[in-house]
Amino acid sequence: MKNNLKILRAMRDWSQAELASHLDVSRQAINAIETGKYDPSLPLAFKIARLFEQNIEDIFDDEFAGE
Amino acid sequence: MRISTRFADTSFSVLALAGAYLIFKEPSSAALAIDNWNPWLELGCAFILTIIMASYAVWGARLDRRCAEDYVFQLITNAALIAVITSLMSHAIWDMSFLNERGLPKPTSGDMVGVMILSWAMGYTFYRVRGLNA
Repeated sequence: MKNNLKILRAMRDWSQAELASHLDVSRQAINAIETGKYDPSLPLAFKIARLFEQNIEDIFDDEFAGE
Repeated sequence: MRISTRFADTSFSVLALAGAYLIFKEPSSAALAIDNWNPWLELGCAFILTIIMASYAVWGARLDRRCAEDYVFQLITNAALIAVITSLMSHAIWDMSFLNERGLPKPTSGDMVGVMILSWAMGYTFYRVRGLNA
């Protein structure tokens, strides 16, 4: 699943470690999400959406939508 | 204590060494079989022990889920699936191998635990490097 977490993080000038501390996860988890190696759980996705004040579907691109 | 990615990385490195040790160490002498051991008693013991251990594992997994962040828990569980499949297939092939007739000893329980732990660590490393979507 593609996402624009890296862009949103850059807009706030946060490092991966800073974003990780905001979300209470490890820096490795943030790196894995940004590189598409891991799709976050629904609670974490909601947490990310709340932090950036956006809808989940605005952050995560559902590549299977429309199939 | 929270299970971080770094903690899991370290734990699985140690587990890989432990698994390799179990596979390569000399097998201990087999336990003596008791002639008058009731097979129904054996079956009952195995059944009860399995229920107790499975319940303990469920409790342990729940604790892991609470203590580990979602990413680490997914890494551990995906790797565990690899370990289970690898153990089953390894045992089937190793135990039934034509090489057994040519001197390859049958796998011991220590060998199988070693295979399971080592494949769990290898699965963890695979998903850690390639990602959970690989």
